[in-house]
Amino acid sequence: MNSASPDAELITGLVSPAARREAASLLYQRYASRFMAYLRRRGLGQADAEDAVQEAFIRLIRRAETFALRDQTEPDRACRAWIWTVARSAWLDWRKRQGQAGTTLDDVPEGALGVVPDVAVTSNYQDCVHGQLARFAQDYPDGGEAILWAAVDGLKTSQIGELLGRSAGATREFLSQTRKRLRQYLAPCLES
Amino acid sequence: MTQRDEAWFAALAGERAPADQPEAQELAAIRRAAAGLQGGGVDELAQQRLLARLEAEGLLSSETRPATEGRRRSWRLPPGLSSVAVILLCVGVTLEWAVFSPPAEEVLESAPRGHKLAPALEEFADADRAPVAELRADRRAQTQLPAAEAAAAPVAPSARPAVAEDPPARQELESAALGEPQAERKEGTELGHARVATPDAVARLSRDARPAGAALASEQQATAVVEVLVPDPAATLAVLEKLAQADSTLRVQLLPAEKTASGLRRVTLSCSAPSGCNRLNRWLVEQKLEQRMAPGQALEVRLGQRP
Repeated sequence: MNSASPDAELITGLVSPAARREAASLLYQRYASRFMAYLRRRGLGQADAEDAVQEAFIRLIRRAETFALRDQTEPDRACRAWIWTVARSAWLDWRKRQGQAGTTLDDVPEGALGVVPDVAVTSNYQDCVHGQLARFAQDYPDGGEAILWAAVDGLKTSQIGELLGRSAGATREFLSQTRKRLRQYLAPCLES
Repeated sequence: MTQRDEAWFAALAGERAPADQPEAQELAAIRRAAAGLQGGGVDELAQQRLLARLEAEGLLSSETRPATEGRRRSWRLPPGLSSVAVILLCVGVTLEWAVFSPPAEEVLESAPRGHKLAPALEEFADADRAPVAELRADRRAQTQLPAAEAAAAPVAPSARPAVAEDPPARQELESAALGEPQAERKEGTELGHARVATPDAVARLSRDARPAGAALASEQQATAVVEVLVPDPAATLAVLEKLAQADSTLRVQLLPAEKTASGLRRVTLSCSAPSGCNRLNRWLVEQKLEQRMAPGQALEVRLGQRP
């Protein structure tokens, strides 16, 4: 087991008492910063986000056995979707504790939406895309997360819908709107 | 989501190839930018805190099983299996309903019968409240039997054997019980026009020959009687016995005094389960009778030969 091991192997490692410590460390190195960014984009402060990340990893370890027992056709992709589901449940629990269960991301004040690198639109196409995607994720946290889940984790639209807690039809509409908005954000990069 | 959007997201997730070169460049740039948004490096201190907490909670010791630690075991079935179980349950309930519930036409046919029986049941209820002597006098008057004949009735638990010994009296009683004029009865009836005695009438028939001390309560449990005229009573009896052989919950009992003065064969039909009752009910429907059987009920059928 090493830093290049697929997620499914690490999850299986969590089930084995002998490999649990190493698997937990590797998963933490792979996902902790992403969980942190995800939670910060959802309005958690630094301290709350750290607590929520810790809580999410404890849940991952406790629930690893039930996940590893499932019959998965695409184990690695399913693993990533499951890991994000656990992270999301940690965020939802935090909201519940804060008494924000009824609020949506639209209600979160803009200033609370995490740390986003301030990358200006430049003549460099890649830098421009980076900066505009960061702005997009700041303005539309769910949409930004959907793009990241697809681009980084390779999740299917159905898995993204589950993570967003939306029905199949609502997910289709949401992703269509997301792409439309992202195009508007990336338009200056193409012009430059 | 339009098909183009769906294809775009599938291409971004690496599930399918980009549509063209510009799209491929766009997707590659987004992937690189997304990777850059994943946050900074690992916070070593935070990782040490997590490991310490895991250690403290016993999640990293080899003796513990993390999946069962700190939470209840789930007894949920796998999703596929639970769906199959629900479907099987629904099919089972539907089949149960289809097998044990009577057909719609039978239900409709039985409705008027219920209305007919209602007044009789009311009479039974009144009988509990009325003085016994008064009730007996009233019953005698209704059956139009001579008082001497009624007084001469033997002291026996049941009136039926005694009445059977006196054919004219029995005929008269039967006629009264069946609720039709004597003359009409003598003319005989066609197949399918079976005469039906209500429980009230049969109770009256036996009550008049009963000793004074007999309890009226037992009258409420009187067996309904139905008379059927068929071309061949023996053959019909054989059909009923065949039904009984086919279902152990169904009982066809040929009464000892089956030969009456009018040549009727008497059999008692009863059933202890819905399956047997359904078989009997189908037979009753074939005979164009209104009676319907229920578990625990008995029905006396008097089979006569159609002239």
